[in-house]
Amino acid sequence: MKEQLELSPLAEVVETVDATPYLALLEERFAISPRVFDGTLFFRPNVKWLSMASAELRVPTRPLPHSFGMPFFYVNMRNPRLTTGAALKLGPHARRNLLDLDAAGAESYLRRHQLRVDPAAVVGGSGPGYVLVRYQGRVLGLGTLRQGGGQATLRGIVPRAWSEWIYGR
Amino acid sequence: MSPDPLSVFDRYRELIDDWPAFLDALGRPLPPSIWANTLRVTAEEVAAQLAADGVEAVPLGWRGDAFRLPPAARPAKSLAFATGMLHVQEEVSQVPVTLLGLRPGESFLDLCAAPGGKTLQAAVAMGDRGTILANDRSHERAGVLRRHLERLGVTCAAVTIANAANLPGAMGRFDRVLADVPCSCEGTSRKNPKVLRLLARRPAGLNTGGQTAILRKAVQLCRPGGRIAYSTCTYAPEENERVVARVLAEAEPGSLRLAEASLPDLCSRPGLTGWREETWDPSLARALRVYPHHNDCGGFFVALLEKAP
Repeated sequence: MKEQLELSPLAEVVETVDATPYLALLEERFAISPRVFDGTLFFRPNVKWLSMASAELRVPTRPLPHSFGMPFFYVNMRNPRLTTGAALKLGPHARRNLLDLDAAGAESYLRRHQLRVDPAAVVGGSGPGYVLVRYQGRVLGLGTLRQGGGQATLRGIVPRAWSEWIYGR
Repeated sequence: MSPDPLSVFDRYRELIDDWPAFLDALGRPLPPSIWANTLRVTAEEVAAQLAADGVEAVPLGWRGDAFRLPPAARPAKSLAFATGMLHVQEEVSQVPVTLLGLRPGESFLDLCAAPGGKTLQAAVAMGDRGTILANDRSHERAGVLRRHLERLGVTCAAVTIANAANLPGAMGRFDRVLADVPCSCEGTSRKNPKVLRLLARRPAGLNTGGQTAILRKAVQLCRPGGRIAYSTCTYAPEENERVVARVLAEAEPGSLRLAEASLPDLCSRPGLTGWREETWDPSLARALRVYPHHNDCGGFFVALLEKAP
């Protein structure tokens, strides 16, 4: 067998996916420009999510890597959404549906508690749905905003493991 | 009366310039170190965030985007950590990747990558551009690595799960390879005092076969003209210079050489060219030893090898 001295471009090793529908969701909800994803490949490592990887990434074919890049978008749900890692990465590019919390709110969010919020605190709010949650200008992750009767509640979407990094079990 | 736990290090008395200072350093808690995820924020922003949290961050003299914190600080419990602004990595563990001098667009193989501090450091140094292959034999530990890659927003890395020494030689060639091999971990005793009990039962210097095999693999998978860093967190010459000397001796003449491993403002000592009854290639003096009392850190060894073009 000929010795393989060159790594293979990722696009030759995995089946890439057209992520246009999901990028459109991000543009519509958060005003994240699709141009942010120039040089990025998308693929579906399992039924639950799409992953994103740099198009520059080259990989061996033997052994085939167990994972590439990072999880990007949960697609196998009624309302597809960003993963928390992708929210942290892409949040700074968002211009709409940004919710700023104070210190107590940020802690509640990171502790995975539901909290009441002022609908007026949502920057560029376009109604109920996903919001990017910020504290002191930094994105903490994603949440779901529910509104009714002039009130709003935020249900945080923080992975348990990430919450435990800060607060323990 | 039980023996002094630090007596496991007695055999290094002749190697260490200031024995009382060495023992004194080992008795103090280790100050944690962190570096800024400059894919996301600047070092100044991280320092400001830590200051806002009441944590004094002192820049490392040899690395401007990394900081030493007070021993009581718990940066892995901070909001800055959870949001990927920083990563916690022992100061000396940052040395091998720094010495490799990674640049955006290069290819980097980390043979024993989990839990991932050095892989992450490489990804940030490369600006998330190019190729990183992070390998580890443990599925569970590789999972920890993947979570950190996600937290920091790294897209240029792939993860393999395999015994590093058994990776196929035909898998490709890399510009830079890191062999941060499993070792007796003597240099981590400040962070993890349990290691002293383990060392009392199983002395250092016994796992050299596996370490040698991993370094051989690193040399094989490095492209001509590329660089390899071999590192351990132990003082044991059997796991350090002897392993490197053996692989150097096996190489075709002129095909592999030791490059100078040193960093300005990091106090270090040259590698050993012999110990007890043995003598090794004089070029091993180009390797780097770090002792805890010199930089208030852990103990570490790095040899930097260059493959001929």
